[in-house]
Amino acid sequence: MSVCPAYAPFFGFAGVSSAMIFSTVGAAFGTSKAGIGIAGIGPFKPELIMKSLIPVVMSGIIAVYGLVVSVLIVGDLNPQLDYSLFAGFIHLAAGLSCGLTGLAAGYAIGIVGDSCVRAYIYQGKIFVGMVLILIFAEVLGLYGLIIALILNAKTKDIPCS
Amino acid sequence: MSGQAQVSAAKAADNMIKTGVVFRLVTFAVALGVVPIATFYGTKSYFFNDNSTYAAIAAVTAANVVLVTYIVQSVLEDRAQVTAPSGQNRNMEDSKKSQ
Repeated sequence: MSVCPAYAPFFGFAGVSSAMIFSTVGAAFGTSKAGIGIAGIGPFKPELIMKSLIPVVMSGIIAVYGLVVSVLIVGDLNPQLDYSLFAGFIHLAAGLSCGLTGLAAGYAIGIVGDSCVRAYIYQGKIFVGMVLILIFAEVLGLYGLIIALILNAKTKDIPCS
Repeated sequence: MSGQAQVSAAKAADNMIKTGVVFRLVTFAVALGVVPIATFYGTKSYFFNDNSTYAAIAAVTAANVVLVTYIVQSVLEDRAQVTAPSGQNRNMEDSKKSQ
């Protein structure tokens, strides 16, 4: 049982793909649910559409978080260098934490975006509340990204033998 | 007659708004994709001496700057739209009353 088995990169790449996949699933749900709300209000108040696109842009930011973590982890994977199982587990944890928190954040952004955009056509003062709730929902994804960054910084100088 | 003029003026204003709006939306969509990655690799190479963590923080900050820019721009555009069409409507109503 060695510190650097041959199957260690499996976990590293699993971290890379899970960061990208799960955060994109969250962003897709957020975009689609908010898009349903915008399609609902569009026929009645087309001048509100630009402001109603804010949940969609925030869902895009969630996908960007997953993209940044994936790029970050991929930068540490090199077949010429030693890759320990510890580093593999770190990368898996980083990818999963960013991906699944992005999934949660995208889900929240979608539901909040849909309901608040529909309420916005009746009461204009809801806009500030909507932006605040969306910011709190997006910060959930940011927490996962921070943990991924802290975890990834621990993969320095892990010797194989 | 004045009703038709009002409708066509509104359509012309809508077309002007639409082309500018689509261009701006596409710009923001492209910026949201390009700016974080460019910031990541740029700051990693040139500012932070290959320290990936700081480069990732810079990329996330850049993405949030794009988001805040979009929010501010949409609020300002909404305020400009509220003041402009009311001026046009007042001119139409004055011309109707004078007839």
